[in-house]
Amino acid sequence: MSDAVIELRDVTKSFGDVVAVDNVSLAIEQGEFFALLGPSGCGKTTMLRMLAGFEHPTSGDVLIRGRRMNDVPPYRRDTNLVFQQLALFPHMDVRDNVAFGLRVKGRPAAEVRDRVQRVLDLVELGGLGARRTHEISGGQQQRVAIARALVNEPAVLLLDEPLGALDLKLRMQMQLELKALQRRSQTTFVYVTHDQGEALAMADRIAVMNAGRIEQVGTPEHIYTRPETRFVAHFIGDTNLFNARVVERDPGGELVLDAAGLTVRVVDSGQHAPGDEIHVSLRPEKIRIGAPQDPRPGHTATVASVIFLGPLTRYQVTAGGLSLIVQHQTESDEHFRAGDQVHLRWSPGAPVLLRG
Amino acid sequence: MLLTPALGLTALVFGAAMAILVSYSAYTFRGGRLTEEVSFSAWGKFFGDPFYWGIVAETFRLGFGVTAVALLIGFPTAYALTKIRSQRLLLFAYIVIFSPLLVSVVVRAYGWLLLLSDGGVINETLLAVGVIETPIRMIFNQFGVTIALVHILLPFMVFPILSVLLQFDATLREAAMDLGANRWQTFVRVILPLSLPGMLAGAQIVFTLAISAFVTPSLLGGGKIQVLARHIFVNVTDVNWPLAAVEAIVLLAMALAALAAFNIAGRAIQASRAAGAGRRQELPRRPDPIYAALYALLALVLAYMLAPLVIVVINSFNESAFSRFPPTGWSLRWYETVLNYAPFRDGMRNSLLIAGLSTAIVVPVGMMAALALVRSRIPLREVVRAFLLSPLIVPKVAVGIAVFILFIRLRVFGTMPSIVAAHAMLTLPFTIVLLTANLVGVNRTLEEAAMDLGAGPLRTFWKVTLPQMRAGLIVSAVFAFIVSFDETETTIFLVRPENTTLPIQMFLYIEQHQDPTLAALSTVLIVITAVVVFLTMRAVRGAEVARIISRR
Repeated sequence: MSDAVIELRDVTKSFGDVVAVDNVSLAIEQGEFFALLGPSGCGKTTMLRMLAGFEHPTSGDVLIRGRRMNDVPPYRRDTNLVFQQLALFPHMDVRDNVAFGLRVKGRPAAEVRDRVQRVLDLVELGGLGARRTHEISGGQQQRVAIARALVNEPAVLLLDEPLGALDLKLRMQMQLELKALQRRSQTTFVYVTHDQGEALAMADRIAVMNAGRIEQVGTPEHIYTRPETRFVAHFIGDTNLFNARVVERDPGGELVLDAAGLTVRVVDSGQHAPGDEIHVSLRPEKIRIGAPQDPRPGHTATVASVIFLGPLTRYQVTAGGLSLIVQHQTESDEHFRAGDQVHLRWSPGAPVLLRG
Repeated sequence: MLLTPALGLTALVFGAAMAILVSYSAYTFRGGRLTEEVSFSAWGKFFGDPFYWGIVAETFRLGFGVTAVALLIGFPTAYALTKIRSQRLLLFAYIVIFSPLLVSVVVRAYGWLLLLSDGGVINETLLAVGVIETPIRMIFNQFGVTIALVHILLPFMVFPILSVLLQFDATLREAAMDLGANRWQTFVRVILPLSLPGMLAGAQIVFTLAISAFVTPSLLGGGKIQVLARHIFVNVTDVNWPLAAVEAIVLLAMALAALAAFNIAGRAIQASRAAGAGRRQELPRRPDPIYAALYALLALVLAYMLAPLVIVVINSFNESAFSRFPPTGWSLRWYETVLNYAPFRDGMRNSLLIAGLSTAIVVPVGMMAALALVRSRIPLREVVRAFLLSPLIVPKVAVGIAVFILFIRLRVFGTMPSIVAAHAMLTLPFTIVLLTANLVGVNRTLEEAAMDLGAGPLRTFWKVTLPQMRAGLIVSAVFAFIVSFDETETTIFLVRPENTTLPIQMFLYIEQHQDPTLAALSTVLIVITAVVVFLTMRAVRGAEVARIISRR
């Protein structure tokens, strides 16, 4: 547990009546690429600022490398923050910007020169040291901001939605570069974003936040395939959410549910009993759609609408009392139209039972 | 064309005057009389005689001294102002710092005389408390002149620095702290360098005004402080106009050199604007000894700005005819004296007339010029703008003598219209600056709507544009009026005894009398100014004023 480079213990942050972070506990491992993911206003930026030292917890403890940091100002912490608006110093050129942290600590000039050049090469800005910050492109400015933080070799690098201002193509390129950079430098990254695609692509682990609380922490695959709450299921990717009642447990160990008239079989870990009301999440790509006379076990449904999305086609279908979205490969042989009867099937392991 | 009146006014009065000034520097002064013989004897005299170099040096020294002190006081003051959270306190601070500008230089210099002289408030207090045994000599030397000049010019230093600080991106401070810089290092490495443009702008204005100061060094220097401006005046009265012209040109050259030097320095430290708009988020503030010190300084500065005015008002009720401090008794008789003193009455009448007429001219002319500068496509627009604003850079005394000679040549010296023309020329740049700023904020779509509904250009202007500019017009008019009313340093060259203005009468009065009559008159003027400012702010709703002024 104390291997964790960052630990938050029961941290709460309130601004007057507003509770921005609500009793959060978290441990981040050394060398991780950790993402704080959530919609605007969920408290992720506030958490990041508490790690950086610009906010102080109302209650609870922030520990960095095992030391309690609650009252330690930003300039005495071993963290560095890449700001959302970059905050590059306009009165200095690129090299002076990057060197700032080292110079403030009084490192000798030769060492500063050396380390600055190395980190500029690391972010592939080697030749641009003498440029002024308004003379370089947005993507280059982004990299200067990262270099300026990284050159100080912090225990933790904090990033506040750093790619928000970039266009799509550049953003995707930077995502790959950041990930590679993190691996090369072996620094712990804490990355705040509202873009679930970004988090899934880059992070080793993700904490999904909502209204000041952490809903779930886990690897991208785990969060995607095994969401624990409706919020997480809904926020990450697309899903079908519905309520169901447990009818019985069949001899094979599977749970039989009644969902608006549809009989659904799921695999659970044994904690549910007949009569329980539960929430279910079923990913659209896990549902197979086929001709109505398909003999395999499944459900009949009627196609309500069809949306063509290029490589994928989406069907909105009604099965029993449920409205479901099904995702289908366009290049398959079978296509359906609104009004058609179809056959749906999925494996019992596909639906996920949610906590809340 | 819209610009014609403005260009005409500036070209005829200002341009012609400057041209004549140069030509007069080439005439000769012989045997105590002016001849029209062309020679460069005046130039030779000036540059040959170390006495004149001494005057230039003294002027420079005063300029540097005043600028340095103003910078030292002005920066922390501006910084403290950005930290104030209470809107009411902020407004109060702004009023205290900036409204002394509206009170005549003569009144303020007089206030400093009361404070700093041997029998003045400060000396008497120190003596009474026992800190000193003999009065400290604070007037008739550089010290007193510097203190008084800093008082007068401090708003010009605070204002540009404040503008720059208010635009400061708060995230830059956070970035510095995140990178390991503590409060002091952040201040020195980030905040200070980025404030440099504001400090330079302020220093530029203050220096230029300081070297051209006339009234303050005269009253507080008592002839011991020989600055160029004063010497020009002396030479004019001696009819040694060529020499006066030379001195005026040298003064102008000094002002231009300073301008150029500051511009070059400004370009050298050119800072690019930070990418992206800065978030002005307030960091939660904890009680901090540094803030306490800043507020203490601000309080001192506010006291400093108010002190001379307060003393003047107090002294107006002083029973003693020698303005003895502390007052032995109170009396209202000086107010009576003011009312009965003919020169003051005439001066007031003249000043009101001149200010009124010149404002009536300058506001429409300025409006037309603003329209042309903002809306039309004129060739060399920036050149035209620079020309129209150029009277602002030239030292008032130089303008004074130049226009004086021009009027003599045109045989209109001393006439009312000539003085009105001169005042109009001086206040025009202010109105142009204020009105162009205001015009930029006018919503053009409303004008298009009016025209679509059938209103011609003139109708549209009258019914749609003008009402939107109401605030700007009021402020320009009030400003032009007050500036004209208080104008001393140019006017003193242009008046005859029969139509002297009030500030000049006051100036002459101080040079001869010691009694509190002047204090009574000054108090009346201060009260009137305060009332005018208050009414103006009501008419324009304080926020509008701040918006207009901050746009400069």
